[in-house]
Amino acid sequence: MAVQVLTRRQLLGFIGGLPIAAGVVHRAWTQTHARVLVVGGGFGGATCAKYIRRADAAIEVTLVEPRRQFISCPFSNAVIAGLRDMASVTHSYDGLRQRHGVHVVHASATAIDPTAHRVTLDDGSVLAYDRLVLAPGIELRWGEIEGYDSAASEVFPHAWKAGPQTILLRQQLEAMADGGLVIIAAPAEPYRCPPGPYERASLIAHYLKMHKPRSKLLILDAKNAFTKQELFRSAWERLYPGLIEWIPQSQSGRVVRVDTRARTVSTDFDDYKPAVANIIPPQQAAAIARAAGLDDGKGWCPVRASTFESTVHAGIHIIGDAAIANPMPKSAFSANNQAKTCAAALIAMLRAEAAPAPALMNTCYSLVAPDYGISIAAVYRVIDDKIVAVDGSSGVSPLHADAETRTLEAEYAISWYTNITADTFG
Amino acid sequence: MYFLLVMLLIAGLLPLRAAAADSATARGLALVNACAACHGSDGRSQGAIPSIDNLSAEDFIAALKAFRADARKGTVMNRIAKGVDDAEISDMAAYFAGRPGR
Repeated sequence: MAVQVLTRRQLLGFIGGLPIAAGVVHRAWTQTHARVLVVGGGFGGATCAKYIRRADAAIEVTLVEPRRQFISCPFSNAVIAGLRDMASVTHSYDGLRQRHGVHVVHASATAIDPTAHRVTLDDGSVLAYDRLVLAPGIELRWGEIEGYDSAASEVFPHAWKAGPQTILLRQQLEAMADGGLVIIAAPAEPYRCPPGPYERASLIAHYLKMHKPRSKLLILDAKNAFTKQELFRSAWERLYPGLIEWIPQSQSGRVVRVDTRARTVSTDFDDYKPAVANIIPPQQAAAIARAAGLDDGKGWCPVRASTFESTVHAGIHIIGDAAIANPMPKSAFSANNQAKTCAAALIAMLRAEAAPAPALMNTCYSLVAPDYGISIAAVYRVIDDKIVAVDGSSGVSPLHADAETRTLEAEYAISWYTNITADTFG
Repeated sequence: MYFLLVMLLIAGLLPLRAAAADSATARGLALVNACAACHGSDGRSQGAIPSIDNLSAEDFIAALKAFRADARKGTVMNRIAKGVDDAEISDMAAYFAGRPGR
């Protein structure tokens, strides 16, 4: 009996001691005050900063972002079409500061020292980090289309980084006379937001149909196929018959040259004189992500699929549009999703633990009209450090669906935007 | 002695069981965080997309399995549900069921 009593007490002591032991480990950990630096405050960077703090408030997180407010590319096409105002796509960093204790520094990162673990900012300050997350998004490749540079974009806007360019394209469409030709030049893959040019064409067509019905919209494409193509094209035939024309690369669709003084847009064989031209040029990872040799030589940054750590330099994670994460598209959802995978992996790595299995997903809604939405979605697994879509999970809305389904997807698109921006910045 | 053996056996299994529970909870959280992009942080949605934090574990599991089998009509959920297995569905349901304040 005495043995049993003693044993039971010992057992209780042992079991009861478990949480205490865990608490000791945790306290020891928190004393290290790990510093994480996040560069870029879009859907990737802001989400990563927030979710690191949510999971472990002992980690110091600094977010470096030059802009005081974030203006989202998602739903900027609705602004261009006059369906929304700029305020509705503008988001504050106050939530990250006040609710999540993220240090937000409004400056630009100009250099990375991957060995010393330091980042230099354009205000001259130098920030040290234990782990660095780069989520700087894209940079437009000026000059890839002859004559298309930053100055030319003031005449023929790209509107592929939301902000003044979004407003400019909106103003040009408003000022255009009925019967004008609108051109959208779409780039070859890879680029930010694969369905974006086609959603934009749809919503501009909606505006033209309502206000300038004799006008025409021409999509000059540098490729021969695009995402949700059958869904877009069948919707265009039904909603905007004769208004939108798509010219693929094989039919001289690729824009090779613009002349903003003559106001011409040229492909290999054809010259156009549009009233409004939206030139979406080829892109690459933003300069800071290509600093320190983090890119693959073609402008994008290779990463390990489970952790989003650079394959070039340990201690640096790259997420969002700048990273190579095929078959995940360069979307806001992907950036938000990769940010959470990166946050979990990064915390495990700081604790010298194994990174948890990633939960990679994407969903992209596109509006073809205010009450007509379509989507593409997929769930991914990492197999042999490659991202692979799970069979059956990857696909688009049905080609033949009732009006109710299209309306529901439009409503979901709006709800998605409210939820993902709150999840990222709230 | 028999009691002692049983207790030692249970005690020996405890850390293992705790580790398994931890990894299931972590998996549930990782998946729920992914879902948050559409369904809202912690599964609480604003607007037309349904919240998913207010379902019982049974209803959550039944809904996802029905979407996966195309027995329930959804939009993206008929696709997304085909990307998760039974254990992951249970892990998500358990995460929501185990959250305080519900």
